[in-house]
Amino acid sequence: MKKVRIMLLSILFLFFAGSTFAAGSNYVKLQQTLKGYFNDMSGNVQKAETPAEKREILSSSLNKVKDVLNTAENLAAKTDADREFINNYRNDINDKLAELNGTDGYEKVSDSNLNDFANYVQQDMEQADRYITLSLTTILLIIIIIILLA
Amino acid sequence: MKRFIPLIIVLASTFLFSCSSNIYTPVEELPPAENLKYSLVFYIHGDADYLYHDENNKSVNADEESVRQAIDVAKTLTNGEVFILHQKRKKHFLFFFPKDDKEFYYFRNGRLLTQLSLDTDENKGVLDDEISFIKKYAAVNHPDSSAAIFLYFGHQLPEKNEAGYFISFPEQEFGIELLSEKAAEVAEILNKKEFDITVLSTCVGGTPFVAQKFSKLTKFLIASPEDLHLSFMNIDYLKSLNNLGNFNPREFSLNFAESSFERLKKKTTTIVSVSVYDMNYLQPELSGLPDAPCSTLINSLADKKGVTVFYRPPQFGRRKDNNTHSGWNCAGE
Repeated sequence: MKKVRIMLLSILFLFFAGSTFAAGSNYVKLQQTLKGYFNDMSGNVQKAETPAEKREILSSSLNKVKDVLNTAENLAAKTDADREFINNYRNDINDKLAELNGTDGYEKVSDSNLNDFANYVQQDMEQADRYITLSLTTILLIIIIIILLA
Repeated sequence: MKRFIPLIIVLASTFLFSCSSNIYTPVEELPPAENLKYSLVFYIHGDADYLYHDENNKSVNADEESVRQAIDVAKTLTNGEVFILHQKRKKHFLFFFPKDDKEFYYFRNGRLLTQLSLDTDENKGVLDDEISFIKKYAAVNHPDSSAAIFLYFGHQLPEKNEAGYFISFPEQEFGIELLSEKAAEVAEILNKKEFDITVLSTCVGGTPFVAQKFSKLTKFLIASPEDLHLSFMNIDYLKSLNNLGNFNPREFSLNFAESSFERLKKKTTTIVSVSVYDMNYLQPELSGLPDAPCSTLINSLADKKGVTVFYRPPQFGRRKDNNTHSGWNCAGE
């Protein structure tokens, strides 16, 4: 009985491993994890009742991603591509935080525009732009922390 | 043991259903092409991350959605032939068993005649299978008056060929250079000197390099000089070809671009830019361009005739107050 169970568990592992860890799927997994995270953020902003709540969700969500990127940079980033990806992404997040709060020369996002701004943050991630080759450790670290944050 | 039987059945069914059967019409049994006014070739790249979320926060895979829309168009066009070439991400069943990663469709006069699944052979060149498929099925009796449209859907292409575009086959080199060479082969198979319209539904397709590469290959190029949201250009608009009296490529290009622009404008808050490049005007300019940095080329092209831009700045960000666009951009900028 035990052997049958081990065999079936092995088959299940292979089934999931085959679909999850196929060649080149890690970067895709990273992008999809981040997109899922920002989609949840956008959904929560739309559902929130007051501008203060909406602003808090946006601010904390963006800051969390910035912290994840800082951690990944310190613990895992090995290549120039890793560092470039993290830098660009962090700059992008900083720009969005600055616009949300009206700093760095940005006009502050008005209370009536917070839903649209949440959509903008999400949609800006979902463009048909180019791919970057990142190291596996950086990718996995970001994915794991984002999943833990969700 | 009995309690594991349902699990075994589920696993076995998953495996069986993963091997889908194909629709196949031998070439010698193809029905004659009737009243053929259009040949459409869609290449839809899906070997990467194409996930986006719609207005209701629902997950959509852009490549699968594009294939679905292209099939709808193909069924509608009773006066055309349509090739849909879908490159999917490589997946395995139980780790060891590769699933097919290419799906090709051929429609003629609104009928699906062949649907073929293939496994990528890395010893072959990029798009070789696609070219062979078109060569095998393309109707041979195109009237001179018939129109040809080539459409590419995917992420931004590097200008010079380089590795990394195909996530499942990272060694394969691809870029605008190779795409334009392969597009030229497709035009030749369709007995055309050039396409009437080429659509590049990618980010940053509106560059001097891209326009140069396609200048002798197409009468009109439709591309975005900026980022393009993954909901892409408006495939549905192509259905209107079925009811057109006379096909005017200029008019159709402008209408297609405008409908794509309006659709993206409604769906997104990010930048939207769709440009139409008229090669009749631009070809002399493009062929005479010096070997200079892209930004210099853009300056020399900025005031030339031949570019129509549909543009809306992003609703947020540094560029929200930039209300005009030249229609040109440089890759990587």
